[in-house]
Order: sequence, then structure tokens, then C-alpha cells
Amino acid sequence: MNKRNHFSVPEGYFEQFHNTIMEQIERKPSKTRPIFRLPAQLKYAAAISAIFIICGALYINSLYDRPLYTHAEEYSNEYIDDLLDSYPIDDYTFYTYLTSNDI
Amino acid sequence: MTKPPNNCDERSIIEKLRDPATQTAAFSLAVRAYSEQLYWHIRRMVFTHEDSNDILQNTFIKAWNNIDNFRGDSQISTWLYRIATNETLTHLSHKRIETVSLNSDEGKIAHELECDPLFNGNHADALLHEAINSLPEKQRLVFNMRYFNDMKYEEISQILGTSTGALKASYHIAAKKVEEYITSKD
Repeated sequence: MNKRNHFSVPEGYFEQFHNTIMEQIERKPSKTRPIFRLPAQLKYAAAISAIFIICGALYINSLYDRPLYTHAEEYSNEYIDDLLDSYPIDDYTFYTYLTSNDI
Repeated sequence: MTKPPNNCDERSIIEKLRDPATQTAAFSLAVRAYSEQLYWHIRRMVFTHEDSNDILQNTFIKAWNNIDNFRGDSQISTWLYRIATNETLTHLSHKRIETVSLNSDEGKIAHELECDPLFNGNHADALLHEAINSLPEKQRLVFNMRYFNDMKYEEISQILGTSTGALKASYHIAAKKVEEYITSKD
């Protein structure tokens, strides 16, 4: 066992390979040359601006999505009973309302 | 074997690659200068000439299609090695999906190599390649580049994007595993 190369190639392979590659690239010069290319600094500036715009949009969106009332658990049952007592509505009407299908 | 260009020739090739008037001629020089060393780099990973030829072609076609993105920050050989390595790893991952498991290669690689008319080694050499094939892919790359190509850790580091410390550790672990594999087969 030694470090020499144990593999071989068909005779004339590398010369033939060179010709094959050059034929391929000369036949199809399909390199993607952009018509307009932004300078690198402008690309970074555009990326940072995009991040700020997205973060801003998400923040504004979160303000509108926030529930209007989220502290119901802070009020005791007694407080709610007192509140209901103060409304001009009798118990019958209130219970009818609660059991109706509209709720 | 084609002699790789020295630093002066490399700079000259890079400058010519940037000029549309001399680009094709410079690329031709690069293909001549690097195809052989890249071929052996690929062949030691995939073993068969047919697969190596396909991967090498893809490497140069990709390099040509992205030639305008090559800024010349690294050596052209480093850039080509990176493309060839990525192409090789992609090929191996596709091949892995097609085969049932890696363990099925055990005891098979050496036999296949000995039957390959384009393999000139003896049984011990074939066993060495089988042992190397049992390593994880990154370790195989490091082992091959260091052991067969005598590449410096700094060069390997630029190609694989791994620190030299990690590469040294990886190489020593790989060498130990290869030794154990061969001993277990004796």
C-alpha cells in the first residue's frame, strides 16, 4: 500500500476533456450577465431598509390586532351583579336574553 | 500531469478572465491548468471515471456561468476546488438516496475497485480506499486532500471553510479510523 495514484484515465482523456468543455462554452455563451447591477453598498442599504420597513409594518399591524378589552378577570362577580342591578332591565328579560338563540 | 500555474500565472489568468476580450482564452488556460488536479480530487471521492467526468464537466460549466461573480479575492484554484467539492458532495448525497444504506458499501468497494480496469492498485490499495470510504464525507475530503494531495491545512481551510485546528483534529481522527478499519480486515 502506498500513496501513489491508484487510478488511471482513458488515454488522451484530459486533452479531450479540455476540447469538450471549450466546445460547450463556445456553443452556448449563456453566462447570466445582468443588464443592470447595483453597487454592493446600495444592496446592503436596500436590505437594511427592507428590514426596517418589515419591522415597522409588523409593529403597526400588532397595534391593530391587540384586543380592546383584556382585563375581564380583574372584575369581581359582585361588581358585575351591582352593574346589572343598576341597568333598567328586569331579571326575566335578562334571562330571556341569555337563553335566546341570538347569543 | 499538467503543472499548476504559479502565483504570477494565476494573477495573469485572473486579469484575463475579467476582460471580455480575453475571457474565453483565459478560461481555456484555467481548464488546462486545473482539470487534472480537480479530476483526481473528485475521483478519490466517487471512484468511477464516468461519475468523475460528469462532475468535472459540471464544475467547469458552473465556473464559466459564474465567472463574473469571481472577484479574485481567493486564488482561482481555491474557487474551482470549492465548486468541485460542492458538486461532488451533491452527487454523493443524490447517490446516497438511491442506495439503501452506507453499510452496504462495506466489503464491496474494494472488490469493485479491483474489477475496475482503470484502477491500478493491489488489494491493499483497494482496501485503503474502502477504509477511506467508510469515513464521513467531510473527513474523507480532509483525509484525501492531506494524504494524497499533500495539501497544506491552510489551503484546505480556504476550500472547506473550516479552521486549521478543526482540520488537524479531523485528519488525525480519520487516520486512526482508517488504520483500525484496515487492521480489522487483516
